Amino acid sequence: MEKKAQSFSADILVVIVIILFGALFLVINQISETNDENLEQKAREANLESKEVYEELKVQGVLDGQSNVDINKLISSDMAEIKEELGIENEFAIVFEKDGKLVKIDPATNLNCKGSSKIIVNNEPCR
Amino acid sequence: MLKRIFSLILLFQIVSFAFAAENLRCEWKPQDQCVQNDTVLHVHSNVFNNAPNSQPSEFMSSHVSIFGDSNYDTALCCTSPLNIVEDRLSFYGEPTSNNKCTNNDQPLFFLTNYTNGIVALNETFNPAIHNTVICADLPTTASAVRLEIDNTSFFEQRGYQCLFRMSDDINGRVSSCAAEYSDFGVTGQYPYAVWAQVIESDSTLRCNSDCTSKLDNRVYSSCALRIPSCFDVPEACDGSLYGGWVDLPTTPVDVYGNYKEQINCEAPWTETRLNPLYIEPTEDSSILVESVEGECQDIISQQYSVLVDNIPYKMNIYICNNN
Repeated sequence: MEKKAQSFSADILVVIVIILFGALFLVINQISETNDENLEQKAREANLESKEVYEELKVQGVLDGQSNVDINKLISSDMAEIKEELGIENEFAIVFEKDGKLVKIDPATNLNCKGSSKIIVNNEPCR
Repeated sequence: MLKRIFSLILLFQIVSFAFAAENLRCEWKPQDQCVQNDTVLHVHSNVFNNAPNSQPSEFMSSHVSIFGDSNYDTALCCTSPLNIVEDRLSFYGEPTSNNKCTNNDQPLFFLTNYTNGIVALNETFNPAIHNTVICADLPTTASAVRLEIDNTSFFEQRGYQCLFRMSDDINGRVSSCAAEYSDFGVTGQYPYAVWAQVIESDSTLRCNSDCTSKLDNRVYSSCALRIPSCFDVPEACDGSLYGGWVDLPTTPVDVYGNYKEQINCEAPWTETRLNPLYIEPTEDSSILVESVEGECQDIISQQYSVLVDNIPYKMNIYICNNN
């Protein structure tokens, strides 16, 4: 009788352990999914903001309708003003590349990128 | 009396020129079916072409190689009553070769990666920047021919001749000047035209004292023939707007064909600057983007294809994401 009771409690223990593992798995899975969703959401928002910046560059005349860039206008543009104009929270910076290599916006002033100084490109803060 | 005769001759020439200006006609034909004296522009079949070969829907570009080989099965045949193109006009596109013009042809225009340009007849072919040459048998009195690509009537109003039309100034489809071709129900698809004007002598230029021409307000080194103070106008400035920055072909070229320096086409013609697009060959140009510590949770980038001086680049917008 006692042996039977011992066996029964061991079974319950196994079931509890399985349930706990299951619950743990579900919680971890949920957290991971939430993180993925957050990342996706962040990427979506950032992409939306970059599109807004792109469109504003057109309005400012830095870009024309055929994607031609007026480098002189870009150099003289105030990115903080554009950020304020658009009402976006995140800082941004513009970088040019060709075949995966950095193209300096203004080699004379060592300008690697145009935008927030919080972003650093090849050890040079953006301006 | 002599003055009067000269005036009459001049008037006759002007009138002839004006009439001739309207007579340049172009027609699309299968390869090798142009009439013997036609001007021939060889073009590649358009892969998106949904029209018969004889329709003006072929690809040509201001900076795409145009070869006269079997890959090009359609020709734009133009009658050319003007002195501008007396005999034949041909395109050759072998970027590494020297001048491909043959017989008595002279290089009329070296097409580059830039949409507009002027090339004097004696300019040397430079494979670093020229990827196509148009050859023409020109009147010996001509000193230069200006070619412009534009989508307005600006040059037409200034006596330029339309050579052909294009759907875009870069990689556009080409059409004859008179064609009213429409595709997919959309009309007016050829807003750009290549305009030509022959400059027969320095007197044709009608130079201003600042070495620009009254014809188009652009700088010409040949103004020095009449205005001695223009003796030091750099050849690089030929055809540029006064005050514009142009590449200096005497300076080194980077791997992308960008000259190291540019010159300001404005008296005293000596101010130079580094070309904003020039990449120092020794530079480690791989891209490393980071943020000031703790300022950005993530840096997310979005890439766009853009053109700078008609050279394609990628423009990345990096967002310092803190949401």
